[in-house]
Amino acid sequence: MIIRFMLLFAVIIFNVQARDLDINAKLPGGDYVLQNIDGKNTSLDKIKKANGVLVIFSCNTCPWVIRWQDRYNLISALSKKNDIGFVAVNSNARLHDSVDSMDEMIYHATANEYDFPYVMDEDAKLAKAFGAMKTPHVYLFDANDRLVYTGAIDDNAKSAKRVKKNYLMDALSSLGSGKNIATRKTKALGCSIKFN
Amino acid sequence: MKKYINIILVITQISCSSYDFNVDTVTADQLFKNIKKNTSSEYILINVWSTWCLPCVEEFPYIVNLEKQYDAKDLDVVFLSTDWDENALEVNQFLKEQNVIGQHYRKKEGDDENFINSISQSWSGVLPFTGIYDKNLNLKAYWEGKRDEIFFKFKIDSLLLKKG
Repeated sequence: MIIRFMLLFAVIIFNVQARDLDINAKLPGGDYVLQNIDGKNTSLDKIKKANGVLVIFSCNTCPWVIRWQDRYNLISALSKKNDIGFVAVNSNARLHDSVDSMDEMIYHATANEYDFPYVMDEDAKLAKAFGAMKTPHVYLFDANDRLVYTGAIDDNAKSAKRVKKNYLMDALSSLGSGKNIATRKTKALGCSIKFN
Repeated sequence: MKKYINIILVITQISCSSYDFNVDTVTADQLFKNIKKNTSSEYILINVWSTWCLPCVEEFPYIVNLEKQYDAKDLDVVFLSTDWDENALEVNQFLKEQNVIGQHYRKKEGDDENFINSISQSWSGVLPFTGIYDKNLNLKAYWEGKRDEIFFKFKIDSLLLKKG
């Protein structure tokens, strides 16, 4: 009987965790303090630019991230061109003292020539506020802090050359030029965010 | 002498066949078609996993145990790997190590979004994913992320109880 109650409690806990943000949802946690790999504290409010902000939940070790990250600097350049802030967020709180530590994040960003902020989300507060569950997972907000695109980077993690649908790049260009974003929500396979 | 060689050959064939593991690659449609063809259980538990996914690997033995604990008329367990082609051997090796019985598959590469939605419209794509389907392959319950054996047992028992 005790086990049954514990299980029910676990089910309730699971069900009350934040739901993944829906399109048009307001940017949550804009003022949360996030430590960047350059040693400075920042926040989404500070990172966002005139046309919005792009958040990618990422990490150092997920094979899906590893495959997709050859496109991160292109995404960064396109964000810059369209006056949209860009940040990669590491919310793997359970691994923040091992493979996803700040030192490992700095090494990973250097080895992969990241030219954008890569921040640690302590206790995965931001991921929880977003309802984010996996890496990589993309959230693009407009100038009014409204979610306009969420989901996958594109339709082919394994090969940038074989991409047929460039969801995020298209969304960034559309947002920057004030056009409608054709595809607003997509899905991809990914690694779970390791909450504490 | 010839008699002994034949005996050795037979033994070798038997031992090889028990380790000769074939994991078909399937789309979601092919997966469901195969399950319909091969399964007559009341419920089918599909576990979507990957060799590189630590929570999947940790959860895996719990689900292997479930298959052993339930009668085949009540529950069938199907493992579906999302590993890429280059990891096919690791998948086979892992399944062997875990002494998996029953049918198991590997996802055909590509078309991930369609695959995710065919397994469950509610699934975000995070691994592991576990869904319990009735014999008509209607999704009755699902979980994203790792769960333990007691949790799964509780859920399966509840479904079987409701069914009477």
